[in-house]
Amino acid sequence: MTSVGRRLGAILLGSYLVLFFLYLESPLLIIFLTSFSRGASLTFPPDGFSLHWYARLWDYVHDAAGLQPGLVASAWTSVWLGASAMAGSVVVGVLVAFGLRRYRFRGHALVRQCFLLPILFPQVVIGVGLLLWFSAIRGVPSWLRLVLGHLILTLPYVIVTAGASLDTLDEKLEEAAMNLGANRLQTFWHITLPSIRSGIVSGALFAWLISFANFTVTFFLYSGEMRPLPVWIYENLQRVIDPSLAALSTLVVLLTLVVLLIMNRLVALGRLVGLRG
Amino acid sequence: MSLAGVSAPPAPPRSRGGAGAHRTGRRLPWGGVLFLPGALVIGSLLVACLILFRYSLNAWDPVRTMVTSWTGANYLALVRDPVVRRAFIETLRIGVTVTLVCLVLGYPVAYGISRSRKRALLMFLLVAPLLMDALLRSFGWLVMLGHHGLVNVLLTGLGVWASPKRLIYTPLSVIIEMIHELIPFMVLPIASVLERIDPTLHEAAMNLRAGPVRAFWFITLPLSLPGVLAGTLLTFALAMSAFVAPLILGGGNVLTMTILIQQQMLTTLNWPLGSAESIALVLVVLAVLTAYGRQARRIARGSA
Repeated sequence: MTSVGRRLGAILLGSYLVLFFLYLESPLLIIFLTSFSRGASLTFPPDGFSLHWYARLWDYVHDAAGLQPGLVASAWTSVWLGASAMAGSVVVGVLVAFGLRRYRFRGHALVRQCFLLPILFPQVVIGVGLLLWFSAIRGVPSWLRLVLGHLILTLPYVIVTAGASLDTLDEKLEEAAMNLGANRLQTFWHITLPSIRSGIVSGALFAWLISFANFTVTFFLYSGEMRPLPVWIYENLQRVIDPSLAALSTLVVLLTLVVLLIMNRLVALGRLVGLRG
Repeated sequence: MSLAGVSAPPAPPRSRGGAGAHRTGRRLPWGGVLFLPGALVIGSLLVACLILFRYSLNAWDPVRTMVTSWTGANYLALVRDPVVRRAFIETLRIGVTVTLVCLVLGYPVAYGISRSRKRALLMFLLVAPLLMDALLRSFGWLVMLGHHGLVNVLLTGLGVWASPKRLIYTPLSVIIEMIHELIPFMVLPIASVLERIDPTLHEAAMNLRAGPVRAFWFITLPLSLPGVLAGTLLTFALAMSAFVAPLILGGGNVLTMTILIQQQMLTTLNWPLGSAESIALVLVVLAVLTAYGRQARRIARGSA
């Protein structure tokens, strides 16, 4: 009886998990399916199969008449913005993570909390706060507003990933280098940095993704000439929604997925969230 | 998304004596330089908040917009203004609903993940949607909940509904999207607690002739409550500050605190009131997050 009951329980739990993950991934699956539909309406199931919404995307790329212009510019803005936020937060974040590991001082936990605060801080408030500040001092170019906003968002993720790598690093390696006459800087550059390489790379990819996917903070800081991709998509959602937007979204999702898979290889996502993966 | 606080592994014990000692503690004045660039970045968030606080004490005039002064009128308005009150109640209502549904739907998922052998894969599937553009997820729901979308087609096809219902641009669609968006934050803390429960406890209960249901009810469930509390607080805090779901799926019909702030700042240009609303939102969210942080640390120490 018990073994039958147990097996039944396992089957029930297993089917629930399958259903749950189907549900969890369903919006992305639906976008994927819709992008291949033939008709212009967003119906389910999609009426027929075609690739012409991807061809339509090509019209957007060429800024064809009657379409919302600026797709390519927006995509470049997003890529470039992500790269800037990534570069900045990697340099700054690795220093902070290193400092947090090396030095114990009063208020250590509090300082760490402060650096991680933006992860959970209401993004609307980050957005409007920076917006009001920048309109008060004027003359701040829009690229600088966006980079600073995104730097605030991405920094904590680099600190977490680099910190997780540093925690696994054996201090004896660094001590050995110092005993052999390397100074602090040489040790950091030749021993510490190379040993946490995977943590740094995955932190960098993390930072890029967070920046690339951010809408809320971007929404309050963008300007006419600096319009990252999520804002472009938002403006299109306000107009006519047709499957070409689904085609674009599919490409964005695929790009994100590739970056995520690379990250997952470097540091299992589960390990970062404190599970034993 | 919160990767950090969910349950950061505690730092490994450090050697106090010997070769390591000369690097600890004493040199912090110089080591502080390491934190300087980071402090500038996080400091700018602080400056932004201070500016919001200062503006929240200013007065507002429809013609001259913001007028410099020192008044508490905006904070009084938070309590008295019927629109603000309605937005606050709506935010609470959505937040509580979303959190409860996440708990009910998420607990079995956390249990399944903690027992599964494919944990790494499931973790990837759980966390991956979080790193997708929030706008795309909302777009997906817009398509699924549309008049001819999956949900309407399925439910009318099965005969549950006689005709398709209007789902998008209603509070219900906002709630549906937010459950989807936030459920991983409920699952993660619960799974990380469940996974640490010694399985022999469950077996011991079974050996003492408690059925699987009784063993779960009296052993596993009580031991997992710290994770439930952490997940509930985290999910609720994030639900209070959600913006994309009410913006896209609310379509102007759902007024939450975040949407109200957006309108005050960008449309009515009532910066003082918008600032007061922002400060109030931050205080509420930080209060919940502090409780969550305490709970998460307690779990990490294993004393919960």
